[in-house]
This record gives sequence, C-alpha cells and structure tokens, in this order.
Amino acid sequence: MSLSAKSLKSSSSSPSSKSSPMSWASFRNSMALCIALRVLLAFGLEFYLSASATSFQQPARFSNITSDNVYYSSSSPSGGANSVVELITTGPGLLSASSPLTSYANLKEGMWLYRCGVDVYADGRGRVGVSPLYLSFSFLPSSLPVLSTTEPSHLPNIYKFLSTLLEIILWITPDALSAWFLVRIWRARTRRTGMLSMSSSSSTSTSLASSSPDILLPSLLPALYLLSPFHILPSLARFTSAWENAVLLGAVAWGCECASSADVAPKVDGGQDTDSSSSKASSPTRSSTSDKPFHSSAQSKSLLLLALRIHLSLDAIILLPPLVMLILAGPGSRLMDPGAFVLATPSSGKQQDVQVEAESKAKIDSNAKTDSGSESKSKSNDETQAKSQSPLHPQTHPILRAVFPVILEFLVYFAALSLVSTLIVGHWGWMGSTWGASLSLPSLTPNPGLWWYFFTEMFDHFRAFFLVVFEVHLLMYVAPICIKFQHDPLYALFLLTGILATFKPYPTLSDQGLFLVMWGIFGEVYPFLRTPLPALLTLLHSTLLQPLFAHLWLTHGRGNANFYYATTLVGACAGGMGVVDGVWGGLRCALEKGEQGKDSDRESVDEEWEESEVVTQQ
Amino acid sequence: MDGPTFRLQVFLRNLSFFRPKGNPNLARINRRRALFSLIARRITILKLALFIAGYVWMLSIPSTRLDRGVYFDENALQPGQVNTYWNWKEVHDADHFLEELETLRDSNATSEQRSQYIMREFLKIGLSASTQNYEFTGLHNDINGTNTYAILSSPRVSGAEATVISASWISRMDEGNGTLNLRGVATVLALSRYVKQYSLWARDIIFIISDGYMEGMQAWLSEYHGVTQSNIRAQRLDLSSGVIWTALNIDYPGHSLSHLGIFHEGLNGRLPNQDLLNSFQHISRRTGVSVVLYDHKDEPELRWLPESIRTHPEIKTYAAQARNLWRHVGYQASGRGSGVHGLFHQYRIDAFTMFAVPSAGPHGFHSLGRVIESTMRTTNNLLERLHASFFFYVLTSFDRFVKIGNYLPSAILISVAMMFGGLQVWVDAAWTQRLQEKPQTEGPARWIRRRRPVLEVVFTMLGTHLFGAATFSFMSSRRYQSLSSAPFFLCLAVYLLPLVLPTLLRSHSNNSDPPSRALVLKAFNLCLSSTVISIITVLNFSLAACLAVALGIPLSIASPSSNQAIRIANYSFYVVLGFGWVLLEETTKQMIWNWDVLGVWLLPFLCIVYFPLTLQAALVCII
Repeated sequence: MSLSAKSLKSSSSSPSSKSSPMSWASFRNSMALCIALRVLLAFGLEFYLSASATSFQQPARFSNITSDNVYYSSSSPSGGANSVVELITTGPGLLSASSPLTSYANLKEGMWLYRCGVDVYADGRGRVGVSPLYLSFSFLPSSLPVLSTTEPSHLPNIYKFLSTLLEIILWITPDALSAWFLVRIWRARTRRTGMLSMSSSSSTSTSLASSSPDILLPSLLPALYLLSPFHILPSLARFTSAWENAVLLGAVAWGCECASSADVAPKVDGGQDTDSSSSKASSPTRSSTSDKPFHSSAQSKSLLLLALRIHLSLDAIILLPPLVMLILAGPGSRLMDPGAFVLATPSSGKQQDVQVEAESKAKIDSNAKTDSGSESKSKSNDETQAKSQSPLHPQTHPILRAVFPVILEFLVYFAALSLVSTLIVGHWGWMGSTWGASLSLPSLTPNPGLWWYFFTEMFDHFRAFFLVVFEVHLLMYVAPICIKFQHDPLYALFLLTGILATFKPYPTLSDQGLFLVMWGIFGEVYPFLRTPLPALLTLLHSTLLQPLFAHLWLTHGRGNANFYYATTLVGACAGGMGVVDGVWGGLRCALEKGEQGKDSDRESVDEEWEESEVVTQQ
Repeated sequence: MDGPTFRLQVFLRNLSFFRPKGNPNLARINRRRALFSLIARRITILKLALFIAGYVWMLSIPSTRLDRGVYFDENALQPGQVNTYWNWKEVHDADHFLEELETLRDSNATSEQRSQYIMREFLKIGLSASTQNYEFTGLHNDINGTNTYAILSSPRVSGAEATVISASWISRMDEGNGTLNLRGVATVLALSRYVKQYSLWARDIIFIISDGYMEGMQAWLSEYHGVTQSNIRAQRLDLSSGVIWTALNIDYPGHSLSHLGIFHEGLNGRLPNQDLLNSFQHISRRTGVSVVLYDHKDEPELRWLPESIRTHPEIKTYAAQARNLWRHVGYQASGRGSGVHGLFHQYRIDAFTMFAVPSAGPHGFHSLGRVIESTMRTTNNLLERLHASFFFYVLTSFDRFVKIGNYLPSAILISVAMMFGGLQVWVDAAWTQRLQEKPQTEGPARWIRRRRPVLEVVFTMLGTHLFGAATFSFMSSRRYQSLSSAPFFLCLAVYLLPLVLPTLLRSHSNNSDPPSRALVLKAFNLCLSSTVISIITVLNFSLAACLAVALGIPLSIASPSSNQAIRIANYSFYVVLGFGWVLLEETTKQMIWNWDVLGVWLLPFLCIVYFPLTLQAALVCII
C-alpha cells in the first residue's frame, strides 16, 4: 500500500511524463505489487483459517436442528468457519453471497449435479442459477485439483494444498485482468482524447483535456481495482462476479481499441510509444485492420466478450447500446464539446465525420423506438449530406449501415453461445433458470439490492406487474443516457454501470466496486462534481452498516430485516448520488469550456483545482 | 366593472405575487443559493446547537421524562400465573448441600474434587452428569479448572431446545474477586433435585456449575457450540442437548438476601431480550422479594447538595437513575458485561444474573427458590425464542427503561455535529486568501481555490491505523506481559514516533502548503469519527456515548498553531487523550485479560480505531 503510494507520489511529481516508458514501468510495478499483496492476503487467510481448523473438533453441532439456529456456526468472531469462503459468506454477514447467479456454492452444486448426470435445470426454475457455460468446466476431469467437487476430507493434503493454490490463482486472475483492461481503457481514452483535441485545434480545451488524464497515472488504477475491498471480498469468497467484471471490462477495453487503433496509433504515438506498444495486445491488429476498422478483430473480441457477459447474467444487456456506440465512435473524451454522435473513421487526417442523431442509432435499442422520428427530420440536411457520401446504399442511413453489421455480429455470437449452452445441457430449459432468474426473481434471500424486500412484502397477485415495473425501470435509463451522452459513449457506459450496480435484481459487491473503480478513468469531470465527499461518506456508512446489521439480524437475532434493508437503501442512495453526480459533472464539463475562453485568468486556477479534485476522488 | 372578471383579475394578481418575477429557473437557483448561504453562514451556530442538544440529551436520559414503565410484549410468557411447589423440604436440601460445600471449601478441595462431588450429587439425583476440564493456553495460561454439568431430558418433547440454570463457583461480588458463590451452587443442586420430580418441562434443563468466575463458562459454552477459540484447550462435552434459548445465572454470595438484583449486560455490549427481565422482576415482586437494578438497594447520598434540593422527589429519582445508568455505561462500554450471564449472549441466548444482594435478611433459599421456579415455568411457556420485545434499551431502574428512540439521538446529534464540522472544514480547505499581488484593485478579500492534498492525508490516516494495529499486537503479546516497564516505553514510543511524520511529509512533497494538509486531515478525521460513532451506537450505545464525549468537542477544536509551544502542548493533549489509559496499569491488565480470555474487543477497538482518531487530531496540530 505504502509502496504504491510512493510510486504514485514520485510519478506525480513529474507531471510532464505522458504515457512514457516510466509510467508504464510504474504501472507494471504497481500491478505486480498489488497482485502479490492479494495472493499473500488470500494465502494468509486460507492458512490462518486452516490452522485454526485443525484444533476445530466438532463442526457446528446443532446447525440442522432448528431453522433459527442455522447461523450458529458463525456466531463467534474467531471461529466456526474452516475456509475463507465460509468465513465471508456466513461470517461477517456479507449477504452479497446470496446472489444465486454468482455464488460459489451454487457453482459447485451445479457442477456436482452435472457430473452425477443429474439434470441441473430440470424443474424449470432450477435451484441453481449457474450459467451452463460454467458447467462446461465439468468436462475437466474431476480428479483435477481445480473446482473439484469431491469431498475434501477424503483427499491427501498435497491435493488440498494444490486445490487451494489453484483456486486462489483462478480467482485473482480475473481481478488482475480487470485491472489490466482498466488501464488499457484509460490509455485508449487518453490517446484518443489527445488526438481529438489536437485535430479540433482549440487550444483552450486541449490544455484541459490533455492535462487531466496525466494525473491519474496508470500505476494507481490497478491498485484501485486490486486493493479495493469491493473486489477483494468477492474474490476471496470465489464469487463468479469477479469473472463477470473481467469479461465486461475486457469487452469495453477491446471496444475502445477497435476504434482508436485505426487512427491514433501511427500519428500521435508513433515516436514515444515504442516501449509500450510492444507490450500491447492490440498492436498486431492495428496494421491488419486499418482498412476495415469496423470488422477488426478487436471488435469481434469485444462483442464476443459482451455476448458472454450478457449470457452469464442478462442485466448487462443495457450495456449493449453504449458499447456498440463505443465501438463505432471511439473512447475519446468529448465531454468538453458535446455534439451529435460521430462515427470514428479509419483515416484520421481527412476527418470525414458524419453527424447524425443518436435517435436513429438508438433504433437498434428497442426501448428508444418511440422517439426516433421527431428529431431526425429536423436535421435532414445532414442526412442528405450523408446520403450523397454513400453512393452504394442510397436508401440506408450511414449510421445504420455501420450499426447493422455490429449488431449482427453480436447476435451471431450470442446465438452461438446459446447453442453451446444448449448442447451442454441438452435442452432449452437452462434459459428459465439462468436468465429467468434475473427476470422473475425466484430467490428472495437478502442481498444488497433493492428488489428482495419489495418482493417479500408484496402480495402475489401484484408480483408480475411489479416485476415488469422494476425491469422497465432498469431499461428506462438506457435511451436517455445514450442520447444525452451520444458524444461520449464510454461515459454513457460508465453511467449505466452505476445504474446497474444500484438497481439490478441481484447486485453484488463487485458491481458496486466496478462503478467505483471506473471513476478513475474520467479525470476530466472531477472538478465539476457537486457532492463527491457526501456520496463517498454515504457509501462508507452503508458499506460499514450492511454487514453489521446483517450480523445483528441473523446472528444475534437483535435487529430485524428492516435494519438491513434500511442500509441497503442508504447504499442505493449512495449509488444514486454517484450516478446523478456523474451525469451532472459530465454535462457541466461542456459549459466550462465556454467560460474558459472568456476568462483566461481562471484557467490556471481551474487546472489546479481540477488536480486536487482528481486526487480527491481517490 | 363586472364582478366575476374583477375577482378573477384580483386572483391572478395575487397569484403573480407568489410567482417570482423574471426567469423562474434563475429564481430557483438564486433561492437555492440563498438557502445554502444561509446554512453556510450559520454552520458554526448550528454545530454548536447540535453539540449542546446532544450533550443535554445525554444528561437527561436518566430523567423520568424520557423513560417509561416496562411492559410485556410476549403474551406466551404468562409470568407469575402458576402455583409454585418449592417449599421447606427443598430449602432443607439446599441447606444440606451448602453444608457439604462448606466442608469442601474448608478442606481446600481442588476444583477437580469439587466437581467430582457435584457430579456425584447430580448422578445421585438421577440426572446424566459429566465434568469438563479446561485450560487457557494464551497469554494467561495459568487459568484452568473443571466445570460440572447435568442435563435433565425434557419429559415432554424431544429436547430440541434447552434452558440453562447456572452458577459459577466464584460470585460476581466485587466483580469476581474471590467471594465464593456457595449458596448459589447449593441452590442449583437443590433445584435440580426438585425439578426432576415434575414432568411439566417442555425443554431440556441444563444445570451448569462453572469453575472460576467467567472463564469456566466461556470454555463450556464455546465447546457446547463447537466454536474454536484458539487459546482454550477444553475437554469435549460428553452430553449434549438442544439449542439453548434462555439461561438464568444464580449468584448468592451472602448469608441471606434482602433484594434480588438484576445484572443483564453481556459481552461487547449485548443485552438480553427485555421480556425476560420484565417477567423476572414481575414474578419476584409477586413472590414478595423486592427487586433492584444491580446491587443498588440504598438511595444515593447527595450530601453536597442542600437539604431542600436533596429531598426533592424528582432529584432523588434522577440521582438514583443516573447511578444505575452510570453503572450500565461502565459495564456496557467496557464490553466485559456484568457477569457470567454475559457470555451466553454471544450465542444468542437470553440470559441474566439474579444477584442475591447480601444482607441480614429477610429472605433466603425459600423465596429465591420460588422466584427461580416461577421464572423457569415462565420461560417454559415460550413457543419460540424471545423475539418480540426490546433488544435495544437502557434500564434506568428495574421497572423503567428508555426506548431506543429516546436515547440514541443524543449520540447521533453529536456525530451529526462532527460530520457538519468535517464538511465545513473540507470546504474551507479548498479556499485560500489570495496574496495581495495587485493591491487595492479588487475587493477586500479575494478567495481563490487551492489544491487539497487528499492522497497524502488518506495515507497518513491509514498509517495511523496501522500504527495502532502495531501497538495492539505489541500489547497483546507475551513480551508486554513480561516487561513491567513496558507501558512506559510504549507510551514514550507512541508519543515520539508520530513526531517524525511532519518532517517526512515535508520532505516528500514541497508543493502543497501545510495548512491545507492539516485542514484536509481534520476534515477527514471528523468525518471518520462521526461515522464510527454513529455506527457504534447500534452495537454498543454506551461505548458510542463515551466516544461522543471523548471525541466530540476535542476533535472539533483541533487546529494547527504557529506557536511551537502551543503546538506541542496540543499534540501532547491529544496523545494523552488517546493513549493515556495505558498508564492505568490495572485497567489495561483487565482489558488484556478480557481480550485474551473472553474475546472482548474493547482493547483492539481502542488501539486500532480510537487511538488513531485522536492521533490524527494530534497530527493536525503539528503537521
């Protein structure tokens, strides 16, 4: 921790070094350090607990006598649990474990049943909400020490050790990958922004736009991801949500690169990026795809990963529109000069940007179908321009022409994954218990989300109606945010991540953590946030109170469900404050640019101010 | 003029009076700005008002205005509705057991011999009985002993639930410093013989005679619930029963008793369900034994007050209730609990101690037995765990209590005041007066924004907490125990080491000015302390109230000074406030014992949370 701080300080003292080898090296150091810390932590806990488990003679003797006694084994701070997973899922009352889609117990149960030849999704609503894709791991030989479903007590010690080791590695990998993807997103955005501001040749916005990302150095991002308790705990408890985050961030990272790789690399970074480009995965794709950027392999990877993510839990579907926009428009920060949706084009020199409303783009999004008509007429001028530029398809809109292949590709991947799942399971029944779980909310075990309490309290005949209301509420945000932030799809995606973390049916710690960490990418909005500290304090309160009230309620039997639910409400307030502040800051950016032209005196002040705010967020 | 039209015009004019002129959005923004500036200008007064309200509220908790009489919430309890059969024959039994126990005591019997005797008696009665040896292997490895227990299987049902009747060998007299609880043990023995005769028990009854004061029961309970405490080596229990719902602990150290006292605070500030206490005091008074809270049977003496005030009934009640409250805060905030019953609470068992307040009379085994029997019959009526009534309460007297809504706000108000203070300082830290480069061109004071060094401050705070953790690990090590001068060295180290930090920070970053750093540190410190206080309130109100008193005003007035002497004085004040308790050797020893043997988290809390918070305030003064 302190080491990474030092590296941060040393690098922040030299603000001029932009994406230089030095910062890259410091990123690598910080990444390695954080991973080492994480591995140490995981091992330390694992062996501390197993050491105390040796003197453990009798596992919770009464755990199945009466129902209100289930939580006995966890009632003492020091014991009962003989594995980290147990400690986290039952110990401090972290109820995020109960998400049926991501819990480790469900994963293991599903694999066990599958290996036994039992149909996991037999009764349609299946107890196990595990995606069939996870079950494909069951094809690994069951003697393998990873994800083994064999009873551990019958196994030799070395096998147990290996199994622990491999599992720890298997659950730190996604976090490491996520951190790595996060840095790649950040780099893509920085470069693209630099390119944009250079081409737009407005000096005032350049100074602001290009100065801000320097402050958040890549060394801090991995630390932010890997050392945040929001990611440490799920990974210790082996929730699959860690993997889902990695998949999503991977999709976003490649989505950023498929547009930026085409036009940025040769021009801007040609000279100074020699060291880093060799280590970047996208460098080979650049040359091969410079002619056809929209069918680059980065795009395919991105779409495939998104399809996978949506496949694992259906809520992520609201991230599809912004991701498609991101693939088409690139990750650059255009918050300073908002405009209509702009397609990124392969040849950056010509700048033949085609401007069209996002409404027409949003046609692909079934939610936005209604508003598509009105405004597109008003800018028919642009359309005619666009039409004149595209002689091949005189009828279709250029954006639609760009969108369709992307959507088509996505659908192909999605269908392929569904087919694979069906082949694994043998019938279509898995859809009901995996995707259906996020739609019909079969399990009402307490979790940090807002849904369970409502639906526990609700009379059954209202259930269907309110399920629809809640689902639509989640979808409702997609169109407005995508339209309002059509100039910056990455930002729209980030805001939707926040919405997802706050309002989805089975949220986990990882979702909140993802939203929190993604703030790191958007340095330019920090000066315009209104309530960063109160929002963070609210989050702190709810994060501290949640395990505490869960503990009071379930272990001590002193509080009740309302206590816990109240804290989840506080958490939702914190999430809401974060999203609202994000929207405000993102829109406020544009105003600032206008003011800056007038008052050159303020500029230096604002830069300083911004710097401090950037640090504030960390 | 036409009537209706005129009226309409007047109406519209009135409407436009309410509507602001000009752009409504602008008006809205202006209104909001005016509101914020109104609050911002008065924030100091607001803060002060909140502090005063909080402290005054805290002081008025013992008054009769905030509390109310107790009542039963669980209808199944039906306290005092039965005829009791405990009679002089049973008293004779108890006397007989007492005689033999006294013989054992006089012959300096070891705990092994004692437990063998007790087990034999249980077996003679016809109960299944066994013993359990235990020893502690942690810092205090001289603790060992033997518990004895017997189980009466429920004659009616399968025995999935159980009730515990227990007595520890050492009484809680003077916080367990050695008075033997012979009569308590004799009562339990006589009771076990007595209840065997009846078939009305709906759950198993476990009789436990635990060795020592708290430690024996700790070993027994952790073994019963299969929970490992790494420093206990205890024999496995041969006999087992179901889930324990309630437990009565009997403490009868004197020769006779005049009152029965209620002791109810558990480990780490937990409290039992209030219905249990209510039914006990109800039964006891119906039986004819007066009940008191704790062992306060006399009214507090207020000699220093003039006669007229002293005898005023309101004042008298306030004084008596304040004394009870003070005792309660002592037990709850220290986390140790007020007796053996406190150990049960950690396993979600409602338990309390009936303490026979020593006196020359008039009651004895006869009354005590009847009260216990009736209380057992009451708990026997329960169909489910006690869940209805209150778990969050403050007893001001045995029959009066303060609801959570009437005591919690006192600490919360102080915490809110601190939060406001923190946010105010946070905003202040962003602004600085511009130096007069261009004199008298502008207004009197031009404020410019400046950088707030957040990361440094966050790492400083993390550092103080890690430092606290290091202190804790040293204090809970053997080395600290063996070295008699360790507290002094520790204090010296704790005092001197943080002094290095300012120079460290200064050499590291030269671009940020110290006052801003101090302000940000103060802001975060206040916000964090406020969060800690408001979160602790639901866990352990007494501790939160103590924190609010100790941290509220002091942290809010921490400020850097230009004078070196004042700075060092301030620094010393905060370090002493945060770490001065280490020099109280007995207290510290007790805390270490509690942590090591019972797992009371006061010591780690003080070291890892409380002390770093004050240390941060101390650093504000010198940074």
